[in-house]
Amino acid sequence: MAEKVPRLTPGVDIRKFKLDPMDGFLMTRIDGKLGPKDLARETGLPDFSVARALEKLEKLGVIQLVDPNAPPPPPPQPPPAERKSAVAQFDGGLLAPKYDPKELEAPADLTPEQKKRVLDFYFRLDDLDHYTLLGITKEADKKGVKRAYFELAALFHPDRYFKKDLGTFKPKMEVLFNRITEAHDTLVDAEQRAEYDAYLAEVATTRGMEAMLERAMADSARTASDAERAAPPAAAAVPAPPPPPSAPAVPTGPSPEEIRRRKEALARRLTGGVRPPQPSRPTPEEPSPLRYSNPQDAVDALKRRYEDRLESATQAHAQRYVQAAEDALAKNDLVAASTSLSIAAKFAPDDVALAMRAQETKNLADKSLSESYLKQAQYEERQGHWSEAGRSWQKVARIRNDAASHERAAHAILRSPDGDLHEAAEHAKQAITLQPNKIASHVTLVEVYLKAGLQASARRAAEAANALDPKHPGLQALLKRIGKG
Amino acid sequence: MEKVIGIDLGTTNSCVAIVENGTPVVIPNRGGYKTTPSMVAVTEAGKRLVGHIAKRQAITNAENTVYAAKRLIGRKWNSPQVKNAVATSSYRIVEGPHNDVRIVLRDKEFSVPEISAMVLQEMKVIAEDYLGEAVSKAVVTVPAYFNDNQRQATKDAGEIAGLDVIRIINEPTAAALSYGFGRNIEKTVAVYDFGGGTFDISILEIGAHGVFKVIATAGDTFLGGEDIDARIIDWLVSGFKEEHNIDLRQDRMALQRLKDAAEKAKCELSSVRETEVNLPFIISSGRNEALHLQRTLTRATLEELSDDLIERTIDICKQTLEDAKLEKNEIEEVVLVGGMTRMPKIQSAVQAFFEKEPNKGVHPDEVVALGAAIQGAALVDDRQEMVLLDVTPHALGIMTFGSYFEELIPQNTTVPTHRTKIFTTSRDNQTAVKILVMQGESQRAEENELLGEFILTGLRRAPKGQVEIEVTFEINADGIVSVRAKDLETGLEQSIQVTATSGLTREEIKTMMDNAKDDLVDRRTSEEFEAAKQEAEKLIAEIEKLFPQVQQIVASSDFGRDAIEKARAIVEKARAAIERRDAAAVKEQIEGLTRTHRMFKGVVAKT
Repeated sequence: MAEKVPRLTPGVDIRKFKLDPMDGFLMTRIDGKLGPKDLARETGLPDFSVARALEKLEKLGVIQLVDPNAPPPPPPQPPPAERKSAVAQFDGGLLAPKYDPKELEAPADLTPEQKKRVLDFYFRLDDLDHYTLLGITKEADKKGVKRAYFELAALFHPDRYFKKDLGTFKPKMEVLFNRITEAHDTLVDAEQRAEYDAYLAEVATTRGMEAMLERAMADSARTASDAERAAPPAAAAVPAPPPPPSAPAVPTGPSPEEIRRRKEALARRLTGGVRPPQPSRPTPEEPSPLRYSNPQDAVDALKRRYEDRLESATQAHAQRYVQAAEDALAKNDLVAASTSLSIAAKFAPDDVALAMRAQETKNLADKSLSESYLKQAQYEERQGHWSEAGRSWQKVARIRNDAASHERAAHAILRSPDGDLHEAAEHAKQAITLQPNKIASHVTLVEVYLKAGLQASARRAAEAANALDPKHPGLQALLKRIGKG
Repeated sequence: MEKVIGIDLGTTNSCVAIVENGTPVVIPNRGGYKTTPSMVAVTEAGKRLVGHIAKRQAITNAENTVYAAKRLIGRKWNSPQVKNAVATSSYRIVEGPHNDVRIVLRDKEFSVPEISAMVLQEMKVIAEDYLGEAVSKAVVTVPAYFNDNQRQATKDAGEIAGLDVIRIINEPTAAALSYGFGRNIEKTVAVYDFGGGTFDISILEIGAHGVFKVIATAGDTFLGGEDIDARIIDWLVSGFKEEHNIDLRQDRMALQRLKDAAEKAKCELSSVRETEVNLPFIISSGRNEALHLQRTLTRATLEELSDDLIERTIDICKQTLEDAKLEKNEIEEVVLVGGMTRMPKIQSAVQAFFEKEPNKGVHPDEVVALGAAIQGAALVDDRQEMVLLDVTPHALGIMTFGSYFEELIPQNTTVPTHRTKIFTTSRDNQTAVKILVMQGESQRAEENELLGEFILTGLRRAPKGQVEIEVTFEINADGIVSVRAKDLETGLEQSIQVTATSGLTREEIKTMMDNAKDDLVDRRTSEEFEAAKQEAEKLIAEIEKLFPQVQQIVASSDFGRDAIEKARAIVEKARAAIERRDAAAVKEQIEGLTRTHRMFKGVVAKT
């Protein structure tokens, strides 16, 4: 069966809903052809964010889930769909299976539906946050959390399958039960939930940012060829349009008038070096080709006209992105602003003021992004989730490129069960290059080499460290170990 | 499908139930009674008696009649509870070969599980008579606050009785199952269970899909109706002593009569305001003349005698609410369980505390057995939509260097569960670690119950703190605890399944702990702390290097001396924080140290 795809409900005024920028962004990609997976790929958002957003949008009646081959939608607006329970979200086929179908045939005293359910949940655990796992919205109250937990607990508690042979499903169900219990225990405790929400918020913003940065990179790479093709840019190629106006990020912010004035002021500042904005549709004089007697003249004129159009098209592009940056800045979204500005700067390469402005904004955005990653990394370390912590530290290190974060990244990767030791070594080395006298980086490098089984490298690294601090106790232990091995 | 009976093995009375056609019912014994006294006796002829028949002959055969054996099950000989029982019981309690408890009946020694097995067997027979078929599976209840040793001993008793105990569940939980079964309610319920020997309080959530989730549970395994009886006996004995200067406790038969009379008076006072205790010919005065005991006990006196005991139960309720992170008004129903809750003073105390009239819809003596039967049916019958999410009543952990108890699974954690923590070696060149598995809430290891131990060997020789050992605790749905220790470097692994250890004295445990001291693991220092410590120590070293120079330069000015004092104070504070291994405090001091260092450098550079 074809996977269902979301499509905008015809005739719905999205402005009357309370949506957030991510929803808005997602909606710009919903075309009635892309499925949830494609949308995740297209937007760069994680699967669970897309799944949750789609569920919310569907519940609100903004979108419908339809068969991609179904005829166009009937005009009347359907009543808002019921909230999908955690079980229904999989049973309803909203998401495609993520496991090898052969697993379904593993022997166990379970019905095929039960098996499917276990596998559906189990192989998605990494993508599921506590809310999506329980199939609840972020606003769900304590009672809602409990209800959802009870529903799943009734399915996955081992007592439901007392003295039955569950085969390979047994450990999976135990993991599932543990995870849903962890989700429940975290979400019913106000304090833990606040901490977890803060963590999720960091993840969401940075993920949104990552996606945006990636798109920006792809877009700027495309910019040249786009400009070559000149002429009104194809809608699909327009990257990251600002979130729709229906998404008031700050409901109680300054008045629209105030925002408009600020924007204008900002626009003046930002576009100081750019030629005055042109009307959105370029209207160069359209000379009649008949006026040219000689073919060369005609060719020249054509070339001029082409260049004019190219010029105005790129200007329109620059303008558009400056505008998007203003919108983003008004919402305090530094990363979006930075992205837009850097694209704008690409369209107007001679505009030094714009380039500087873009650089400044980028620095600010990087700072906020790295702070966010840092918070995530620390939360993950506290929870003992070393793989995640490793990834977060790597992101911090990529932005800050300082010894401390490289060292932490190496350390966390080293501790994680599936850590890439090569990456860990690179981070440790970078930390040492940046701050050669930081003994911790040396020790970490030695440990990485040892774990990778590279005795000779470990010995060299340990000796270098030893020259630095011959009394470091951890290092002495490592040296002895190398000596023995 | 095989039938599973539910047995409430009580301190004073036991009860058996079964689910028939989806309805839980209590099975009456041959005498038509729904509960059976948990009493066992051996007659002169060597015949074993259980239940009502044992109770009836108790007075004439006091020395060979066992009651309240539950108070002794799974306990060590030298525990205060056993000492107390030895002093007050009419039957003989002696020390067993493994520091366990033995009961002597007609010169024969019985272990406590053997005695309990006789009661369980009686319950099994009652069920078999009723059903007309053999029964081999049972769910048996225990007080929520029983530790693993006591649970294991209860399971052993079942095995001796020829029963496969498929699950042990907590009494208040069973009561809640019975209360909520088939009612399709969503409620937060407190079960106040005051029985013959133990007091328990559990807070549960009953929700959709037949899910019962225990939120918190606590109790006192030595606080029950028997203690109130003992207060009445004390009152009678001391009154008699004043009058006749004779200690009735010296006579085991008199003691048994007093016990019966106290229990009877206590029960009567739940419905009347005063009652007469009348025991003619209770003892001989020594001049061939028998003395009589006759006293009037009023409800007010009884309440006075038991006031502090009731207060204790309310204190435990308070604590449990706190553990559950709930306010009183979030408790939607209070269910009373256990014979003691018939006492008006207890009902009013509970009502006053929870500010809610307790539910009287369940039968306090039968509800626990019904709940056990419901759990039994739910386990073996797929059609029963009911799942019990239970918690571990005590924290589980290991002993670490310095005799600390390091918790891995906290109290009130939903089972099944597993938790992992990383530890390190506690001394240089340590090649083996002993993992002492413990249960309890005290920070001091020796105050907790020791469940088992094992050794992980073959560690690399290294300075202390270098070798990391990962310890994993796992509790499965059956409540079985298994512990695994893994050397993170070599991947070497050792594990045990914890089965209750009985038969170790406190001294033996202490010796064991002492002997293990050299081979313990240590808490792993946090990364955070190490990082902060390194930074702080570096700054301190640099500041101290500059100290003499700075002192020379600024000593002449008041301001300079003041600054030096301040710098010293900051360094001291930082050192203290490092000493305490307080990561947050060290981090806080780093700022001050950085400032001081900068200032010092500035001073030195300027001159």
